[in-house]
Amino acid sequence: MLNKFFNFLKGYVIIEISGQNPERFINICLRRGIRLSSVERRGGAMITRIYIRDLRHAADVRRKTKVRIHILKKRGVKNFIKRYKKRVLFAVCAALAAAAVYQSSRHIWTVEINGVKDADITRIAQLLEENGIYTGASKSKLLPIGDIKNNILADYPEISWLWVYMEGTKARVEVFERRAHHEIVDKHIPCDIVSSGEGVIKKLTVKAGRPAVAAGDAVTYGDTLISGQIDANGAEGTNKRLLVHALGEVSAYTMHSAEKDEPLYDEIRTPTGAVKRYITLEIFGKKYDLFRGMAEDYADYDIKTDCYELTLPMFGYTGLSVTSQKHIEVQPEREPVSEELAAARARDALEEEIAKTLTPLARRTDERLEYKKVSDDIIRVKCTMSFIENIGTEEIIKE
Amino acid sequence: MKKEDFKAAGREIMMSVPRITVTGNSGLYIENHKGIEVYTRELIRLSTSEGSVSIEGHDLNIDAVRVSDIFISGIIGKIEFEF
Repeated sequence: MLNKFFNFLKGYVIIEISGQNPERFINICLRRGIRLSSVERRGGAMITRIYIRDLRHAADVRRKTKVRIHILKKRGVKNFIKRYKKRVLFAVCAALAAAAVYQSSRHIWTVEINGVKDADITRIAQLLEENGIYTGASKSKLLPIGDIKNNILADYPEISWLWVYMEGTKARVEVFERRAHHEIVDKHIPCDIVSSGEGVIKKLTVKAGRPAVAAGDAVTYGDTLISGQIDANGAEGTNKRLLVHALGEVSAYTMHSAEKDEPLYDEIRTPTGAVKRYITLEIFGKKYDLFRGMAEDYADYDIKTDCYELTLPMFGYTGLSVTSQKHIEVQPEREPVSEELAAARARDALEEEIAKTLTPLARRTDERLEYKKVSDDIIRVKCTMSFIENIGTEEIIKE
Repeated sequence: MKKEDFKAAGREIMMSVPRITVTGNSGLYIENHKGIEVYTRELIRLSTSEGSVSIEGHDLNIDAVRVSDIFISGIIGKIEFEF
Protein backbone atom coordinates (compact mmCIF):
# COMPACT_ATOMS: atom_id res chain seq x y z
CA MET A 1 0.00 0.00 0.00
CA LEU A 2 2.71 2.41 1.06
CA ASN A 3 4.83 1.31 -1.89
CA LYS A 4 1.97 2.03 -4.29
CA PHE A 5 1.55 5.48 -2.74
CA PHE A 6 5.23 6.35 -3.20
CA ASN A 7 5.16 4.99 -6.74
CA PHE A 8 2.18 7.24 -7.43
CA LEU A 9 4.06 10.23 -5.99
CA LYS A 10 7.11 9.57 -8.14
CA GLY A 11 5.08 8.81 -11.24
CA TYR A 12 5.43 5.74 -13.43
CA VAL A 13 4.36 4.34 -16.77
CA ILE A 14 3.20 0.89 -17.73
CA ILE A 15 5.03 -0.18 -20.87
CA GLU A 16 4.76 -3.06 -23.28
CA ILE A 17 8.06 -4.43 -24.57
CA SER A 18 7.91 -6.49 -27.73
CA GLY A 19 10.49 -7.66 -30.21
CA GLN A 20 13.18 -10.27 -30.58
CA ASN A 21 14.63 -10.35 -27.09
CA PRO A 22 12.78 -8.43 -24.38
CA GLU A 23 14.72 -10.38 -21.68
CA ARG A 24 17.92 -8.70 -22.92
CA PHE A 25 16.25 -5.31 -22.64
CA ILE A 26 15.35 -6.06 -19.00
CA ASN A 27 18.84 -7.29 -18.13
CA ILE A 28 20.52 -4.20 -19.54
CA CYS A 29 18.00 -1.95 -17.77
CA LEU A 30 18.82 -3.65 -14.48
CA ARG A 31 22.56 -3.30 -15.01
CA ARG A 32 22.11 0.40 -15.74
CA GLY A 33 20.13 0.89 -12.52
CA ILE A 34 16.74 1.33 -14.17
CA ARG A 35 14.14 -0.03 -11.79
CA LEU A 36 11.44 -2.29 -13.16
CA SER A 37 8.59 -3.89 -11.27
CA SER A 38 5.73 -6.31 -11.94
CA VAL A 39 7.22 -7.85 -15.05
CA GLU A 40 4.51 -9.90 -16.71
CA ARG A 41 4.57 -11.99 -19.85
CA ARG A 42 1.52 -11.39 -22.03
CA GLY A 43 1.66 -13.29 -25.29
CA GLY A 44 4.86 -12.42 -27.13
CA ALA A 45 5.33 -9.19 -25.21
CA MET A 46 6.24 -8.20 -21.68
CA ILE A 47 4.43 -5.67 -19.58
CA THR A 48 6.30 -3.84 -16.85
CA ARG A 49 6.30 -0.66 -14.82
CA ILE A 50 9.04 1.91 -15.01
CA TYR A 51 9.50 5.29 -13.34
CA ILE A 52 8.92 8.26 -15.63
CA ARG A 53 12.39 9.64 -14.80
CA ASP A 54 13.96 6.37 -16.10
CA LEU A 55 12.04 6.38 -19.37
CA ARG A 56 14.69 8.43 -21.22
CA HIS A 57 17.45 6.00 -20.15
CA ALA A 58 15.25 3.09 -21.21
CA ALA A 59 14.99 4.63 -24.68
CA ASP A 60 18.78 4.23 -25.10
CA VAL A 61 18.48 0.57 -24.13
CA ARG A 62 15.60 0.15 -26.56
CA ARG A 63 17.79 1.36 -29.44
CA LYS A 64 20.57 -1.03 -28.42
CA THR A 65 18.34 -4.11 -28.06
CA LYS A 66 16.09 -3.23 -31.00
CA VAL A 67 12.86 -3.91 -29.10
CA ARG A 68 9.66 -1.89 -29.41
CA ILE A 69 8.26 -0.03 -26.43
CA HIS A 70 4.66 0.99 -26.29
CA ILE A 71 3.40 3.11 -23.39
CA LEU A 72 0.10 1.65 -22.18
CA LYS A 73 -0.72 3.90 -19.20
CA LYS A 74 0.70 6.87 -17.38
CA ARG A 75 0.26 7.08 -13.65
CA GLY A 76 1.35 9.49 -10.95
CA VAL A 77 0.79 12.88 -9.41
CA LYS A 78 2.37 14.85 -12.28
CA ASN A 79 0.25 13.06 -14.83
CA PHE A 80 -2.85 13.53 -12.69
CA ILE A 81 -2.23 17.29 -12.38
CA LYS A 82 -1.43 17.56 -16.08
CA ARG A 83 -4.69 15.90 -16.96
CA TYR A 84 -6.90 17.95 -14.67
CA LYS A 85 -5.17 21.37 -14.57
CA LYS A 86 -7.55 22.84 -17.14
CA ARG A 87 -10.64 21.64 -15.26
CA VAL A 88 -10.84 24.43 -12.68
CA LEU A 89 -14.36 23.58 -11.52
CA PHE A 90 -13.33 20.00 -10.88
CA ALA A 91 -10.34 21.17 -8.84
CA VAL A 92 -12.50 23.59 -6.84
CA CYS A 93 -15.08 20.87 -6.13
CA ALA A 94 -12.34 18.44 -5.14
CA ALA A 95 -10.85 21.03 -2.78
CA LEU A 96 -14.30 21.78 -1.31
CA ALA A 97 -15.00 18.07 -0.85
CA ALA A 98 -11.64 17.59 0.87
CA ALA A 99 -12.38 20.57 3.14
CA ALA A 100 -15.86 19.19 3.94
CA VAL A 101 -14.44 15.78 4.78
CA TYR A 102 -11.76 17.39 6.95
CA GLN A 103 -14.34 19.56 8.73
CA SER A 104 -16.74 16.64 9.23
CA SER A 105 -13.93 14.56 10.68
CA ARG A 106 -13.67 17.07 13.54
CA HIS A 107 -17.15 16.17 14.80
CA ILE A 108 -18.89 13.18 16.33
CA TRP A 109 -21.54 11.80 13.99
CA THR A 110 -22.45 8.54 15.68
CA VAL A 111 -22.63 7.56 19.33
CA GLU A 112 -22.64 3.81 19.91
CA ILE A 113 -23.38 2.55 23.43
CA ASN A 114 -22.43 -1.06 24.18
CA GLY A 115 -22.75 -3.31 27.24
CA VAL A 116 -26.09 -2.05 28.59
CA LYS A 117 -28.39 -4.80 29.89
CA ASP A 118 -30.39 -3.56 32.85
CA ALA A 119 -29.30 0.07 33.07
CA ASP A 120 -31.36 2.86 31.49
CA ILE A 121 -29.74 3.52 28.10
CA THR A 122 -31.70 6.78 27.65
CA ARG A 123 -30.28 8.08 30.93
CA ILE A 124 -26.75 7.12 29.86
CA ALA A 125 -27.25 8.86 26.50
CA GLN A 126 -28.50 11.96 28.34
CA LEU A 127 -25.48 11.94 30.67
CA LEU A 128 -23.17 11.53 27.68
CA GLU A 129 -24.86 14.51 26.04
CA GLU A 130 -24.41 16.59 29.18
CA ASN A 131 -20.72 15.72 29.02
CA GLY A 132 -20.38 16.68 25.37
CA ILE A 133 -20.79 13.30 23.64
CA TYR A 134 -23.65 13.73 21.16
CA THR A 135 -24.24 13.70 17.42
CA GLY A 136 -22.72 16.82 15.91
CA ALA A 137 -20.46 17.62 18.89
CA SER A 138 -17.05 19.05 18.14
CA LYS A 139 -14.26 16.67 19.06
CA SER A 140 -11.87 19.52 19.84
CA LYS A 141 -14.12 20.80 22.65
CA LEU A 142 -14.44 17.46 24.40
CA LEU A 143 -13.49 17.06 28.04
CA PRO A 144 -10.74 14.55 28.79
CA ILE A 145 -12.28 11.06 28.55
CA GLY A 146 -11.27 10.30 32.14
CA ASP A 147 -13.27 13.31 33.37
CA ILE A 148 -16.31 12.24 31.30
CA LYS A 149 -16.07 8.79 32.86
CA ASN A 150 -15.80 10.19 36.40
CA ASN A 151 -18.74 12.60 35.88
CA ILE A 152 -21.03 9.88 34.55
CA LEU A 153 -20.06 7.34 37.22
CA ALA A 154 -20.76 9.96 39.90
CA ASP A 155 -24.21 10.74 38.43
CA TYR A 156 -25.19 7.15 37.69
CA PRO A 157 -23.90 4.78 40.38
CA GLU A 158 -25.58 1.73 38.79
CA ILE A 159 -22.73 1.51 36.31
CA SER A 160 -19.30 0.54 37.54
CA TRP A 161 -17.11 1.57 34.61
CA LEU A 162 -17.43 3.41 31.33
CA TRP A 163 -15.04 4.54 28.62
CA VAL A 164 -15.43 6.45 25.38
CA TYR A 165 -13.37 5.31 22.40
CA MET A 166 -13.13 7.77 19.52
CA GLU A 167 -13.08 5.88 16.21
CA GLY A 168 -12.95 8.52 13.52
CA THR A 169 -16.26 10.33 13.76
CA LYS A 170 -17.82 7.60 15.88
CA ALA A 171 -17.84 7.65 19.68
CA ARG A 172 -18.02 4.09 20.95
CA VAL A 173 -19.07 3.96 24.58
CA GLU A 174 -18.39 0.75 26.50
CA VAL A 175 -20.45 0.39 29.68
CA PHE A 176 -20.03 -2.11 32.51
CA GLU A 177 -22.97 -2.36 34.85
CA ARG A 178 -22.55 -2.76 38.56
CA ARG A 179 -23.49 -6.25 39.72
CA ALA A 180 -25.79 -6.42 42.71
CA HIS A 181 -23.95 -7.36 45.86
CA HIS A 182 -24.45 -7.21 49.58
CA GLU A 183 -23.53 -3.96 51.18
CA ILE A 184 -20.43 -4.42 53.30
CA VAL A 185 -20.77 -2.87 56.72
CA ASP A 186 -17.67 -1.47 58.42
CA LYS A 187 -16.43 -3.80 61.19
CA HIS A 188 -16.65 -1.06 63.82
CA ILE A 189 -20.37 -0.50 63.19
CA PRO A 190 -22.72 -2.73 65.25
CA CYS A 191 -24.87 -4.93 63.07
CA ASP A 192 -27.08 -8.03 63.05
CA ILE A 193 -26.96 -10.84 60.55
CA VAL A 194 -30.41 -11.26 59.07
CA SER A 195 -31.92 -13.68 56.59
CA SER A 196 -31.84 -12.73 52.91
CA GLY A 197 -34.54 -15.28 52.07
CA GLU A 198 -36.69 -18.15 53.25
CA GLY A 199 -35.27 -21.48 54.39
CA VAL A 200 -34.56 -23.96 57.14
CA ILE A 201 -31.36 -23.48 59.12
CA LYS A 202 -28.81 -26.23 58.55
CA LYS A 203 -25.80 -24.95 60.43
CA LEU A 204 -24.98 -21.81 62.40
CA THR A 205 -21.39 -20.73 63.06
CA VAL A 206 -21.14 -17.65 65.28
CA LYS A 207 -17.86 -15.75 65.53
CA ALA A 208 -19.24 -12.65 67.21
CA GLY A 209 -22.71 -11.86 68.56
CA ARG A 210 -25.54 -14.00 69.93
CA PRO A 211 -27.24 -16.78 67.95
CA ALA A 212 -30.89 -15.94 67.45
CA VAL A 213 -31.93 -19.19 65.74
CA ALA A 214 -30.92 -22.84 65.93
CA ALA A 215 -30.47 -25.65 63.39
CA GLY A 216 -33.85 -26.85 62.13
CA ASP A 217 -35.60 -23.47 62.62
CA ALA A 218 -37.56 -22.09 59.68
CA VAL A 219 -36.73 -18.49 58.86
CA THR A 220 -38.12 -15.95 56.47
CA TYR A 221 -36.80 -12.79 54.84
CA GLY A 222 -35.49 -10.25 57.38
CA ASP A 223 -35.41 -12.58 60.41
CA THR A 224 -32.46 -12.00 62.74
CA LEU A 225 -30.10 -14.96 62.61
CA ILE A 226 -27.16 -13.67 64.65
CA SER A 227 -27.88 -10.71 66.89
CA GLY A 228 -25.34 -7.97 67.48
CA GLN A 229 -27.02 -7.10 70.80
CA ILE A 230 -25.47 -8.97 73.73
CA ASP A 231 -26.80 -8.87 77.29
CA ALA A 232 -23.95 -8.71 79.77
CA ASN A 233 -24.07 -8.67 83.55
CA GLY A 234 -22.63 -5.51 85.09
CA ALA A 235 -20.30 -5.44 88.13
CA GLU A 236 -23.15 -4.64 90.54
CA GLY A 237 -25.50 -7.27 89.11
CA THR A 238 -27.15 -4.87 86.66
CA ASN A 239 -27.92 -5.93 83.10
CA LYS A 240 -26.06 -4.06 80.40
CA ARG A 241 -26.64 -4.31 76.66
CA LEU A 242 -23.56 -4.36 74.42
CA LEU A 243 -23.71 -3.73 70.71
CA VAL A 244 -21.23 -5.65 68.55
CA HIS A 245 -20.62 -6.29 64.88
CA ALA A 246 -22.15 -9.75 64.45
CA LEU A 247 -19.99 -12.22 62.53
CA GLY A 248 -20.72 -15.75 61.41
CA GLU A 249 -22.03 -18.02 58.73
CA VAL A 250 -25.56 -19.33 58.45
CA SER A 251 -26.16 -22.11 55.97
CA ALA A 252 -29.74 -23.03 55.27
CA TYR A 253 -31.82 -25.32 53.08
CA THR A 254 -33.60 -23.07 50.61
CA MET A 255 -36.00 -23.65 47.79
CA HIS A 256 -36.37 -21.56 44.63
CA SER A 257 -38.90 -22.04 41.90
CA ALA A 258 -39.83 -20.46 38.60
CA GLU A 259 -42.33 -21.26 35.90
CA LYS A 260 -42.99 -20.43 32.27
CA ASP A 261 -45.18 -21.40 29.34
CA GLU A 262 -43.52 -23.37 26.56
CA PRO A 263 -44.97 -24.09 23.10
CA LEU A 264 -45.41 -27.71 22.03
CA TYR A 265 -44.12 -27.00 18.55
CA ASP A 266 -41.11 -25.71 16.66
CA GLU A 267 -41.78 -23.00 14.14
CA ILE A 268 -39.88 -23.58 10.91
CA ARG A 269 -39.77 -20.45 8.79
CA THR A 270 -39.00 -21.35 5.20
CA PRO A 271 -38.16 -18.38 2.88
CA THR A 272 -40.43 -18.24 -0.16
CA GLY A 273 -37.83 -16.36 -2.17
CA ALA A 274 -39.67 -13.03 -2.17
CA VAL A 275 -37.52 -10.24 -0.70
CA LYS A 276 -38.03 -6.50 -0.40
CA ARG A 277 -35.09 -4.27 0.33
CA TYR A 278 -35.26 -0.86 1.98
CA ILE A 279 -32.15 1.30 1.87
CA THR A 280 -31.46 4.10 4.33
CA LEU A 281 -28.58 6.50 3.90
CA GLU A 282 -27.02 8.07 6.98
CA ILE A 283 -25.03 11.24 6.42
CA PHE A 284 -23.43 12.79 9.48
CA GLY A 285 -26.09 11.47 11.84
CA LYS A 286 -29.12 12.31 9.65
CA LYS A 287 -31.02 9.46 8.10
CA TYR A 288 -32.49 9.60 4.59
CA ASP A 289 -34.81 6.81 3.48
CA LEU A 290 -34.39 5.89 -0.18
CA PHE A 291 -37.94 4.52 -0.33
CA ARG A 292 -41.47 5.76 0.14
CA GLY A 293 -42.97 4.06 3.17
CA MET A 294 -42.54 0.42 4.01
CA ALA A 295 -45.17 -1.69 2.28
CA GLU A 296 -46.50 -4.49 4.46
CA ASP A 297 -47.12 -6.83 1.54
CA TYR A 298 -46.10 -10.04 3.22
CA ALA A 299 -48.27 -11.82 5.78
CA ASP A 300 -45.22 -13.22 7.52
CA TYR A 301 -41.63 -12.11 7.07
CA ASP A 302 -38.23 -11.97 8.74
CA ILE A 303 -36.17 -8.83 8.90
CA LYS A 304 -32.45 -8.84 8.17
CA THR A 305 -30.53 -5.63 8.66
CA ASP A 306 -27.02 -4.97 7.32
CA CYS A 307 -25.13 -1.77 8.00
CA TYR A 308 -22.18 -0.72 5.85
CA GLU A 309 -20.07 2.09 7.33
CA LEU A 310 -17.60 3.96 5.17
CA THR A 311 -14.27 4.00 6.96
CA LEU A 312 -10.97 5.27 5.62
CA PRO A 313 -7.48 4.18 6.67
CA MET A 314 -5.90 6.59 9.21
CA PHE A 315 -9.24 8.41 9.41
CA GLY A 316 -11.81 5.97 10.75
CA TYR A 317 -15.55 6.31 10.34
CA THR A 318 -16.40 9.08 7.88
CA GLY A 319 -19.96 9.68 9.07
CA LEU A 320 -21.42 8.01 5.97
CA SER A 321 -23.23 4.69 6.19
CA VAL A 322 -25.80 2.68 4.27
CA THR A 323 -28.32 0.49 6.09
CA SER A 324 -30.07 -2.23 4.12
CA GLN A 325 -33.18 -3.72 5.65
CA LYS A 326 -34.44 -6.86 3.95
CA HIS A 327 -37.97 -8.12 4.43
CA ILE A 328 -37.76 -11.81 3.61
CA GLU A 329 -41.14 -13.47 3.13
CA VAL A 330 -41.39 -16.79 4.97
CA GLN A 331 -43.83 -19.65 5.10
CA PRO A 332 -44.16 -20.66 8.76
CA GLU A 333 -44.76 -24.31 9.53
CA ARG A 334 -45.22 -25.95 12.89
CA GLU A 335 -43.43 -29.16 13.80
CA PRO A 336 -44.87 -30.83 16.90
CA VAL A 337 -42.58 -31.31 19.89
CA SER A 338 -43.06 -33.82 22.68
CA GLU A 339 -44.01 -32.57 26.14
CA GLU A 340 -40.77 -33.98 27.59
CA LEU A 341 -38.63 -32.10 25.08
CA ALA A 342 -40.55 -28.85 25.59
CA ALA A 343 -40.20 -29.21 29.38
CA ALA A 344 -36.45 -29.85 29.05
CA ARG A 345 -36.09 -26.69 26.94
CA ALA A 346 -38.03 -24.65 29.47
CA ARG A 347 -35.91 -26.05 32.30
CA ASP A 348 -32.73 -24.42 30.92
CA ALA A 349 -34.40 -21.01 30.82
CA LEU A 350 -35.89 -21.47 34.30
CA GLU A 351 -32.55 -22.54 35.74
CA GLU A 352 -31.02 -19.32 34.44
CA GLU A 353 -33.82 -17.34 36.01
CA ILE A 354 -33.37 -19.08 39.39
CA ALA A 355 -29.60 -18.60 39.26
CA LYS A 356 -30.11 -14.83 39.30
CA THR A 357 -31.78 -15.02 42.73
CA LEU A 358 -29.11 -17.15 44.44
CA THR A 359 -26.43 -16.04 46.86
CA PRO A 360 -22.79 -16.72 45.89
CA LEU A 361 -21.52 -20.30 46.45
CA ALA A 362 -25.04 -21.78 46.67
CA ARG A 363 -24.94 -25.58 46.24
CA ARG A 364 -27.83 -27.39 44.52
CA THR A 365 -29.10 -30.48 46.31
CA ASP A 366 -32.31 -31.37 44.53
CA GLU A 367 -34.42 -30.46 41.53
CA ARG A 368 -38.02 -31.09 40.52
CA LEU A 369 -39.62 -30.40 37.16
CA GLU A 370 -43.40 -30.37 36.79
CA TYR A 371 -45.50 -29.52 33.78
CA LYS A 372 -49.13 -29.54 32.76
CA LYS A 373 -50.95 -28.77 29.55
CA VAL A 374 -52.74 -25.41 29.59
CA SER A 375 -53.90 -25.55 25.95
CA ASP A 376 -53.50 -27.77 22.91
CA ASP A 377 -50.10 -26.39 22.07
CA ILE A 378 -48.79 -24.87 25.33
CA ILE A 379 -47.51 -26.47 28.53
CA ARG A 380 -46.78 -24.67 31.79
CA VAL A 381 -43.46 -25.81 33.24
CA LYS A 382 -42.50 -25.29 36.87
CA CYS A 383 -38.97 -25.91 38.05
CA THR A 384 -38.21 -26.16 41.76
CA MET A 385 -34.64 -26.40 42.97
CA SER A 386 -33.32 -26.98 46.49
CA PHE A 387 -30.05 -25.44 47.63
CA ILE A 388 -27.78 -25.12 50.60
CA GLU A 389 -26.70 -21.50 50.75
CA ASN A 390 -25.41 -18.88 53.10
CA ILE A 391 -28.46 -16.71 53.70
CA GLY A 392 -26.94 -14.36 56.27
CA THR A 393 -26.54 -10.71 55.36
CA GLU A 394 -25.38 -7.80 57.50
CA GLU A 395 -27.87 -5.15 58.66
CA ILE A 396 -26.87 -2.13 60.72
CA ILE A 397 -28.56 -1.93 64.15
CA LYS A 398 -30.72 1.17 64.33
CA GLU A 399 -30.82 2.73 67.79
CA MET B 1 32.46 -20.98 14.67
CA LYS B 2 34.93 -23.24 12.95
CA LYS B 3 36.97 -22.01 10.04
CA GLU B 4 35.15 -24.41 7.67
CA ASP B 5 31.72 -23.18 8.82
CA PHE B 6 32.78 -19.59 8.40
CA LYS B 7 33.93 -20.33 4.88
CA ALA B 8 30.66 -22.10 4.04
CA ALA B 9 28.51 -19.26 5.44
CA GLY B 10 30.38 -16.57 3.54
CA ARG B 11 30.56 -18.41 0.26
CA GLU B 12 27.45 -16.90 -1.28
CA ILE B 13 28.63 -13.42 -0.27
CA MET B 14 32.22 -13.77 -1.40
CA MET B 15 31.60 -15.69 -4.61
CA SER B 16 28.13 -14.42 -5.56
CA VAL B 17 26.71 -17.94 -5.39
CA PRO B 18 22.93 -17.86 -5.87
CA ARG B 19 20.80 -18.20 -2.75
CA ILE B 20 17.24 -19.43 -3.33
CA THR B 21 14.36 -19.04 -0.86
CA VAL B 22 11.16 -20.91 -1.71
CA THR B 23 7.82 -20.07 -0.05
CA GLY B 24 5.51 -23.08 -0.44
CA ASN B 25 4.91 -23.51 -4.17
CA SER B 26 3.77 -19.95 -4.72
CA GLY B 27 6.81 -17.75 -4.22
CA LEU B 28 10.50 -17.84 -4.92
CA TYR B 29 13.24 -15.35 -4.11
CA ILE B 30 16.66 -15.60 -5.74
CA GLU B 31 19.66 -13.55 -4.76
CA ASN B 32 22.83 -13.16 -6.80
CA HIS B 33 21.38 -13.87 -10.22
CA LYS B 34 23.13 -12.54 -13.30
CA GLY B 35 20.15 -11.83 -15.53
CA ILE B 36 17.03 -13.26 -17.14
CA GLU B 37 17.68 -15.71 -19.97
CA VAL B 38 14.11 -16.79 -20.73
CA TYR B 39 10.80 -15.58 -19.43
CA THR B 40 7.48 -17.14 -20.35
CA ARG B 41 4.39 -17.88 -18.26
CA GLU B 42 5.58 -21.50 -17.85
CA LEU B 43 9.36 -21.10 -17.61
CA ILE B 44 11.81 -18.62 -16.19
CA ARG B 45 15.50 -19.32 -16.66
CA LEU B 46 18.00 -17.19 -14.81
CA SER B 47 21.68 -16.93 -15.33
CA THR B 48 23.89 -17.29 -12.25
CA SER B 49 27.62 -17.46 -11.55
CA GLU B 50 27.39 -21.24 -11.42
CA GLY B 51 25.19 -21.90 -14.43
CA SER B 52 21.47 -21.56 -15.04
CA VAL B 53 18.49 -21.98 -12.75
CA SER B 54 15.19 -22.92 -14.41
CA ILE B 55 11.85 -22.46 -12.68
CA GLU B 56 8.93 -24.26 -14.29
CA GLY B 57 5.29 -23.84 -13.37
CA HIS B 58 2.12 -21.97 -14.28
CA ASP B 59 1.25 -18.27 -14.38
CA LEU B 60 4.80 -17.31 -13.45
CA ASN B 61 5.21 -13.63 -12.80
CA ILE B 62 8.16 -11.44 -11.89
CA ASP B 63 6.86 -9.29 -9.05
CA ALA B 64 10.09 -7.43 -8.47
CA VAL B 65 13.47 -7.52 -10.12
CA ARG B 66 16.70 -5.77 -9.33
CA VAL B 67 20.23 -6.16 -10.58
CA SER B 68 21.06 -8.97 -8.11
CA ASP B 69 17.76 -10.32 -6.80
CA ILE B 70 14.39 -11.30 -8.18
CA PHE B 71 11.04 -12.29 -6.68
CA ILE B 72 8.92 -14.74 -8.69
CA SER B 73 5.31 -15.63 -7.93
CA GLY B 74 2.92 -18.14 -9.46
CA ILE B 75 2.47 -21.89 -9.17
CA ILE B 76 5.95 -23.33 -9.04
CA GLY B 77 6.29 -26.92 -10.20
CA LYS B 78 10.01 -27.55 -10.63
CA ILE B 79 13.35 -25.88 -9.93
CA GLU B 80 16.25 -27.15 -12.01
CA PHE B 81 19.96 -26.38 -11.97
CA GLU B 82 22.13 -26.62 -15.05
CA PHE B 83 25.79 -26.34 -14.06
